[in-house]
Amino acid sequence: MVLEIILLSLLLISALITVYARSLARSAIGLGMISAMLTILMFRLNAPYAAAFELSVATGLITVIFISAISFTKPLTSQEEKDKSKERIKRYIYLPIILAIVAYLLWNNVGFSNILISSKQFYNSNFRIVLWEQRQFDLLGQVIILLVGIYSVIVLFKENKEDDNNK
Amino acid sequence: MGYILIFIPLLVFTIINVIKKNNLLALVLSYSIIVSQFVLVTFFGNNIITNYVKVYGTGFKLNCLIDQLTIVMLMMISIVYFVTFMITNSTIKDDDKKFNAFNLLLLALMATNGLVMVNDFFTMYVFIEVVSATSYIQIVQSKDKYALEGGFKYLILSAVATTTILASTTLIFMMCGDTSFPVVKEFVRNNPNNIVILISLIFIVTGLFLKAGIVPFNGWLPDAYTGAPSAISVLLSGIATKTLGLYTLIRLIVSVFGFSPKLQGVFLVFGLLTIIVGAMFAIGQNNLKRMLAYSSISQTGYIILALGALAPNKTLGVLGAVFHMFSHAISKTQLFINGAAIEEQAGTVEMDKLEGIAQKMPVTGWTSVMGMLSISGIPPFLGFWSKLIIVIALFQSNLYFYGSAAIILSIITLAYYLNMQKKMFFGKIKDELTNLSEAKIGMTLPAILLSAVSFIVGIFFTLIFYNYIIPIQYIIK
Repeated sequence: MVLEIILLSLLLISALITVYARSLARSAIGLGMISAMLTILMFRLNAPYAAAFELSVATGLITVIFISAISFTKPLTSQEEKDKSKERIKRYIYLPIILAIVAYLLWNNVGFSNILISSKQFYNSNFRIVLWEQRQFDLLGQVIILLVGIYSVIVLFKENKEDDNNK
Repeated sequence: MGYILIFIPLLVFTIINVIKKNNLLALVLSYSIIVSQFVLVTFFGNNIITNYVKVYGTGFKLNCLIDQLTIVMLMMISIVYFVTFMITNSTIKDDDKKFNAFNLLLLALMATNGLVMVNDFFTMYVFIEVVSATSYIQIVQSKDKYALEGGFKYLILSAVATTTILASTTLIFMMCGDTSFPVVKEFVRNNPNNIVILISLIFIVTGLFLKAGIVPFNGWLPDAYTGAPSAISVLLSGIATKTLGLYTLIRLIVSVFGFSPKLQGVFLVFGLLTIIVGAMFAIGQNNLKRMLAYSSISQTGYIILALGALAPNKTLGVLGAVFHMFSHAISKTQLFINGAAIEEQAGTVEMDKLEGIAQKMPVTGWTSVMGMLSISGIPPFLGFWSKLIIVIALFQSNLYFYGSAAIILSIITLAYYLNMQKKMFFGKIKDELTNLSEAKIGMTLPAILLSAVSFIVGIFFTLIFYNYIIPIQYIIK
């Protein structure tokens, strides 16, 4: 119980790091930290398959994709960075306050320990059965979205090469 | 058996990509599957109605729900996609881009067919994501500045909507143990005052209002419709807001959460606000597509207003909403096709640069008049009947203020459309437009088809109303 509260607060702190970070690369690493904390929480709450997928996809693949997209952009000079970070802190000053209020309300009213315990009750069936027999319609949707992903890469990135060749 | 409507486009997609890459083959196959979907749903609709609850361990069976509401939505989807394929064939000239566009449209057709058949919260989330993803990619295809801006706004606000829908699904799963609609309906009926269900209802209504473009969540809609290529504006206005936002709301109210007076109040207030704001912004617009986008926002408000009318047996409001969705899809699609034809021929959609073009483009001019009359609610077009049913539903629920407001705001609708007609189509033709000519058959044929549908179905309106719309009342208990 104590460990889960520590993990949740670390998650919130890394979320705040993501918002207030000075450069885009630090924000991307903050996102990776959020996913890592979430993975450990999922292992604690007795959901090993979800934790394995979260670790490999969110912490690994998505952080790599973000950093490779950021590498295409031009970095700011240090003076511009300082100005933008001051402006950003001023803009998002209300975030920790709202987070504290919502956490306090959840703790008192809904039953914070209730939420964390109840997720252990529903882990009662095999992963194979859930994916291939109970969730077949979702699988069809996910196949379609994979095909959409392939076509989006073709539409968005292939034409760049043609335009560059024409220029 | 209705889920073959997802597998047949998947088969065509495989044939086109793996066996033979040909634009003509893609077009012919797509036309045939869409026409066969329309024929199947219209004439043999009763054979595919199913409320299939899955039996585990018995092989390949999908948990889908096809009832009378799905039949009407599938009819609407097939008409709009047929017309979109025709317009895409005419506006895009490059062969590679045309091939990519056809494939994306086929994927969107699969996803939209799947979305209207869901029986589960998480499946609904997956299919909402798929339809949104195909919409983003198609908006930014042309990569000019306005397309990228509109697509970016749509992407960010749609991500917020997705987050709230997922949060709502998570809360419901936590309370009920399962996300399928019958289980949640049973839980809501047994525990009517649960606070977690109320929070999840607030989240999911917010998310679906964002997807549908209700005020004050409509920031993305004008930019996305204006910046997108003409064929995709046709698709967005006809399908994306209606199936993503409005059909899912109706399905959740009818099959899961039930009617309640507080929800009725929310719908009435937001509906009236949407009609007023959409109409006010549409009056002063100079760009034709932007004016049509604000008009779409306004008509979506009518649909939400109709959902707030708890007529004595709760059904007439829902029937009015579904019928207005259908008639608005047909009329607004036809007006966007006219916009596409004008953009193709004259190169611009700014209304002060075009004057008197009805002399050179007669088909476009006269079909736009018919579209205008249908949307403003003039008999005997289709839009008149749908608005009449909404007003009757409001009056029968003793909501006299909202009913009169709906009638009066319909006059403002007519006002800005008459403004468009006067400025653009009828008048003295400008000098630089003298060698304008009518658009090709590929763009005038869909416009003639849709205005004929709205006129003929408006005259024989009892045919569609009694056979397809009235049976929806049997699913509302």
